[in-house]
Amino acid sequence: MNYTIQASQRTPALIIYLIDISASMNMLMENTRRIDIVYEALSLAIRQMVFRSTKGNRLTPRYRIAILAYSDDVYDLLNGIKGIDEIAAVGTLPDLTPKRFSDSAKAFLQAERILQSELPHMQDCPAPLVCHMTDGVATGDDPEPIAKRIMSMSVPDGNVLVENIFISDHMLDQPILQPRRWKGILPETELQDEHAAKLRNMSSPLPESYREMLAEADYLLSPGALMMLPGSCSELVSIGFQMSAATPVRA
Amino acid sequence: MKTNTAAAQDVFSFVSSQSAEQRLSTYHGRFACRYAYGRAMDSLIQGEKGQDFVGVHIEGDSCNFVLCDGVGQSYQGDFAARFLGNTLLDWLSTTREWSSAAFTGFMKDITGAASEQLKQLTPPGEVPSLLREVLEDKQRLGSQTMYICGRIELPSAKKKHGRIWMAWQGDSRLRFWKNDMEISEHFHATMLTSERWSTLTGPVGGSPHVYQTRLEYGVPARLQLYTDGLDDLDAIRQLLPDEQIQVLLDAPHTGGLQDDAAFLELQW
Repeated sequence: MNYTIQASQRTPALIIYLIDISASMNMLMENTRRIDIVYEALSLAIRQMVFRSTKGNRLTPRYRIAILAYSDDVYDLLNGIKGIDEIAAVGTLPDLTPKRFSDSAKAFLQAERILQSELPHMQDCPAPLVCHMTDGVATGDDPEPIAKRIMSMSVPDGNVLVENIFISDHMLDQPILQPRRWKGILPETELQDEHAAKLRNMSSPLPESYREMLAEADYLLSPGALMMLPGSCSELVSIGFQMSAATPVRA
Repeated sequence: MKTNTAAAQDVFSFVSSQSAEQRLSTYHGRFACRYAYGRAMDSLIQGEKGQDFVGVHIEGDSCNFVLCDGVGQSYQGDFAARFLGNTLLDWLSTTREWSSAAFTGFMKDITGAASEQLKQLTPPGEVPSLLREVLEDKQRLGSQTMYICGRIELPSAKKKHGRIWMAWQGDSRLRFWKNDMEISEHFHATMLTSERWSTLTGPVGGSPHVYQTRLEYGVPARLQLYTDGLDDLDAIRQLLPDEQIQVLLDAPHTGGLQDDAAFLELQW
């Protein structure tokens, strides 16, 4: 239970992305639509996984990915779980088009079903990770009980990890001026937003192995930080997606 | 490649092929030398080169050796391991300057030739564009390898003191026994995953670690080097029989090796 199993061809990591595509994702951040910033950050994370999965000229399928976009319904953008080699073969990710509402509970429920089906075959693999990105209050049912159930699921490497990226300018009392020097959100960090507090309850502690991987990329999150990022600028959104791909891999 | 050109003169060389396995084998002369090489099962199935390298050259009382572990996430880690392994074997047999500064300088000086050769290894054209872009990024960052190299000059009845000189960067294992007592803990703090050699910049993560000591006549010793593909050996302090080391190389418990493995053991 220490999140040290390395992602490999035989023991691939599973990452499930839950992407909020509610209408507010059309709003601008740094003169760019939020949804486009998320698309760029997700594309960069996929590229990073390709980087970590190449040996010689070959891409070894060390990561398996599902991308669920949600509004008032859930859209499985990859039609199931796909290997990083299959995603690289296609070259680009499916479009993310904002729709209306933001029913994150439905997305977490679908993630739970995927995990229930996958976990029995993943006993030697790294603990799976669910990366949730949202910019607002959930409509529909409360996602927290479902997220808690997911966080209690486990493989020998550790419990399933849940990460939250919350695109908001009002989450912390101080702006983050230097994302690379930022220490992260701790259990005791004061949050200005009720929804942010809920998302924190749904966020796993950052495993030490992930923290070390991020430190190699010069992001200095402190021990005890949670897997929660305030997406107040594009760099923080990007860090959030990089965190999702920080499963240990063989050098 | 193995040559034992003149057993009577006690000359022996072995350089691993990265495209074939070498079962555990032994050479007996003034040194007893056990060596082996295995590729990860994934590489074996795909017919790919291994990214480790091991080479040894024994000539009478002296022995030069190199062990490399190419960094899989760098560009063509097999290239860095092979280039550095062969280059260091040459250097060990010709240099007269054993200072840390001279060695560090040498490790920087060879990056030009390495980078020139790496340029020729362009990514294949038929791969998906995203993979090709990533491979091109990696090529710009260079090829990397961890390494341990060294030279042993044995003492003799006429020459009371011999010498061992070693240098390394990375987390490959370097274990040393004198009189059956393991003294490897002296090296542990310096075997760091973050350190390696790069075709682009030379030493990465710090300067090479250099160790040198006298060897006393009549004191038996054992030096064991292996890459992390054989990390099952880490907990074993006693001298393992050949067949047990071969079992670790065959790794039936995991359906073959999960990572490439190179092994070299010298006893005198």
